[in-house]
Amino acid sequence: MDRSARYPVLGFLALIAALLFIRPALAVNYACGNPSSGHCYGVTQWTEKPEYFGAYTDITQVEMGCPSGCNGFVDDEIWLTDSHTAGCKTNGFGQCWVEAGYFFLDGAKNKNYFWAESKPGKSAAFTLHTLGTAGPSGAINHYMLIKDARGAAGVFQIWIYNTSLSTLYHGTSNNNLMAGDRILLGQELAGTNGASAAKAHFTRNIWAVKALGPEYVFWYNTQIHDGSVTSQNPPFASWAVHPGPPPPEGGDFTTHCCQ
Amino acid sequence: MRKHILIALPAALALLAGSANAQTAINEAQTVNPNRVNVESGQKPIALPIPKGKETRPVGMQAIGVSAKVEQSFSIETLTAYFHKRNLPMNMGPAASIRVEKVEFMTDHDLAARLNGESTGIGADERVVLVTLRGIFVFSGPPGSHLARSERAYAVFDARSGNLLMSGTVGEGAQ
Repeated sequence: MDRSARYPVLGFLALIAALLFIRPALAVNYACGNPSSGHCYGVTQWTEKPEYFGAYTDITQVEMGCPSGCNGFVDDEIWLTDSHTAGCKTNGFGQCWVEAGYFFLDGAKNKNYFWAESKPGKSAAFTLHTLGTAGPSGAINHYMLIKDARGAAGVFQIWIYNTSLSTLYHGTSNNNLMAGDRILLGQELAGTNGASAAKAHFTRNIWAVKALGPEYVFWYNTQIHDGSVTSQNPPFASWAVHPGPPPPEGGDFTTHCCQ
Repeated sequence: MRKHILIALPAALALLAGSANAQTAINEAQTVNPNRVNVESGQKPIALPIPKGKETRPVGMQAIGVSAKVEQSFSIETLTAYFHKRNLPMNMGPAASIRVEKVEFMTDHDLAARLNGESTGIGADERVVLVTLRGIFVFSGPPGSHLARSERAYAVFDARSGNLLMSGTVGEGAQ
């Protein structure tokens, strides 16, 4: 081979080598949100019941990170949503919801417990409540969302707690006339790069068969189907134990991020 | 020369395929478990007690350093610098667009009256700082929701600790 022919080949091989080195770095980049595109999800969702009065899951606390410049956040959480009530269809998001979980925000020092809501209405009102530093990795916390029928209409109660009740956050969503028609749980990822989250387990996946009454009990059935799983890779999500006869109640759904 | 190209070409094609996979990593994978035994319905309601106990007071997220002169700690300059650096939590709009419009001190009880029932939960008589913001605010909800844009938003800080307790966009009924 003459020298003039060899240079393009060498250049091509050098390009391949460069790309091989670049690829691992690409693995932690993602396109999960800017002012014109939405977030990424690793979730399962159930929609078969006419109304879910509440939702509950146990989530393991895991190591998370989203260093300064990650441009977003990563979380593990549960949602109860409504996409059929007229006021929810037109509230800007096209849905109402209450949600609870823990997240790691861009450049934060710790992961934090939070709950949030979006109600029926025309003004895209969204409210986020940041509660406090989330528990140590390995701990299991309980997340409960339930419609409250004991008084005025449009009330949802939110609890985040551990078994010993040394952590017991409580929030109330008022003036929220949604009717839950979907339960989702899993991971949300926003931003462009650098986030991480170890494998989290979502167990005891159950739903409220009636609203909270004076007996002050979460009456539930367990999830017995996989639901519809979305894994946008990242976040990565799958069933480790499919829902079915317990134990564990409602299977074991897992998420992790971002490679 | 031809021999070299024949060696390089498959490698390049394999690499490009891998690269394409990396670029299209955002794929929705619908999975079902067809072998699942359907033990449908028939479930009797089971009771799970609602947690009862001493509720944990929300402490929020570390945000503003509070000095003895509390009002000065929440100056427009300090708050603007904070939001330009940290943005409003979960906001996908540019942090640089955020302008602090108003800073008000009030009780959590009065805050709820201003925000259509929203409160931080730290206690009705506790002092909070309501910061009204202008800018480009873009929030996303659960899967399937639309991006919602707003030009007005707010943040609520604990006046004692400077921690961020609550944030959001301004909705119907809020004053």
